Amino acid sequence: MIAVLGLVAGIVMGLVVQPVVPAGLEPYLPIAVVAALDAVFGALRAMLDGIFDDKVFVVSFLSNVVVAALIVFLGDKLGVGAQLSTGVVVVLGIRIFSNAAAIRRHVFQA
Amino acid sequence: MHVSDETPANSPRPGDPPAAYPEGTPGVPPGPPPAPPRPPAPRHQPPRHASREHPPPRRSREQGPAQPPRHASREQPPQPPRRQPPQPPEEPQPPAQQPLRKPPGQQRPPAQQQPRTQQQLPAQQRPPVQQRPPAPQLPGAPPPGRTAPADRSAPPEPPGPPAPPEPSLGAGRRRLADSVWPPRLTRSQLIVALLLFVLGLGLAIQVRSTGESSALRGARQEDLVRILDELDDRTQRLEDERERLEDQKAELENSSDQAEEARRQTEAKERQLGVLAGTVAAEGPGIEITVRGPEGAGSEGAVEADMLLDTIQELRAAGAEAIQINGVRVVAGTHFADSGENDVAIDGRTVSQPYVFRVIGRAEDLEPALNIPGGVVQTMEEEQATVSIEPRDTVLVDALRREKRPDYARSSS
Repeated sequence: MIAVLGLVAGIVMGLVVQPVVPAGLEPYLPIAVVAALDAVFGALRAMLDGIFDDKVFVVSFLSNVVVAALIVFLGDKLGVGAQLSTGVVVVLGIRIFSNAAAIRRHVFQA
Repeated sequence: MHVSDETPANSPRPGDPPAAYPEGTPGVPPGPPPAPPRPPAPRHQPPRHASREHPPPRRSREQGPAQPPRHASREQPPQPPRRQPPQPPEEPQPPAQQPLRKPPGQQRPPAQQQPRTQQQLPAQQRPPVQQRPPAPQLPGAPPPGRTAPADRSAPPEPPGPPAPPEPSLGAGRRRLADSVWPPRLTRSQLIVALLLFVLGLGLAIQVRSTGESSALRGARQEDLVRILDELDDRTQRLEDERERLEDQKAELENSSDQAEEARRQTEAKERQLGVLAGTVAAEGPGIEITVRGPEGAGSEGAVEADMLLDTIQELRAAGAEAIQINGVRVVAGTHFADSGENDVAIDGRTVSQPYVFRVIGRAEDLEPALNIPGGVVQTMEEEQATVSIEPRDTVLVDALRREKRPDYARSSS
């Protein structure tokens, strides 16, 4: 519950305060958000499976974000940033879908 | 991700399975009799059943051999629900085997597991914790050769796919409801809330910034540079105009005879507008263009009105200030129409070949504009027309256009 409140508070804050992202971080934000979403879906699934662990969640959340940003950064340096970020998004998208499928099975039994 | 993450966590468990299994081994062979054991030792057995009923392959993969102790504390609330669902399905199973199982399997596990779990999780107060460990062990217990197969075979449920989902369904939902409704202020909740807050923040920022500049976001670098250049040019032009107007204003304010100055400026403006409107003759540097259609009269490739119009537009884009074609002044409202084989109607007046354009403007700009590859000249030459362009120091545009005075409208200023 508190976690949901945190999410809502974050969204509201982002919309109301309109913070400015440092230009250097701007390219990594979208990919980091997708990676974080993946972590959140994984955590939700783990929670439904009854194996949720906050430490695992924190570590996976942060490492996901960092690794995703790192890949994009590396891609930019190698001149294949766009392709690599597409790849990252595809992979994360697949995982989000599979996690969502597991969650769906739990919640709707279908 | 979680799957992979949790596998490592399982490693601590290796010791558990052996302990748990021995007990199970004797009981397991009988197989299905999980139900009977329940009543005596509700805590331990429930987890087992639950684990069995879940799709065995998935479980073992995700949960691995065991979950870290911490989970247990968190998930204690949800577990109770789990037990209940599994029980009903099992009861129908053969009661005969129950006795077998009970004595060896059940009683031992409680004794062994409890001490163990407590050691591992001293902080945990609740017994439900123990339920957890048994569940993972069953699926993940490949090491003990007999036990693992026995466990798998023991639950007849797996073969029937519909059965497994039910318990997990109820459990999952209940867990979700539990975690949502009675809000608990625990460390993990706070940490998760913090991370989700960050996620929400990033999401909102990203959505907002994407929505803002969607037009430029996808543009290529070259396009962006061009757009920037255009903006700079425009800024420069506007700056110039502002300066000019301010000079004008200053002159009007400072001149000794303000009325005279105003009249002078107005006349200048009138001449300027007259040239644009075609009511005043104009003179200046420019070019003269002669366009001749193909020789054979009535041939297909005659120069048509749209070509002339294209030429005019090209000239205007290149900065032509005054244009006339064969004695017809071209202004903003000029219209072209095909009227015959070798002539064109411009503003309703028939004009015949050759078409001679007199254009005032910068010759260096106008000529290349017409000659660009694929441009006007090339197009007309493809139609067998001949086009000659001559720069002139002085071009006289003296064709006039009758000034149209509105009948009713009067200037309001």
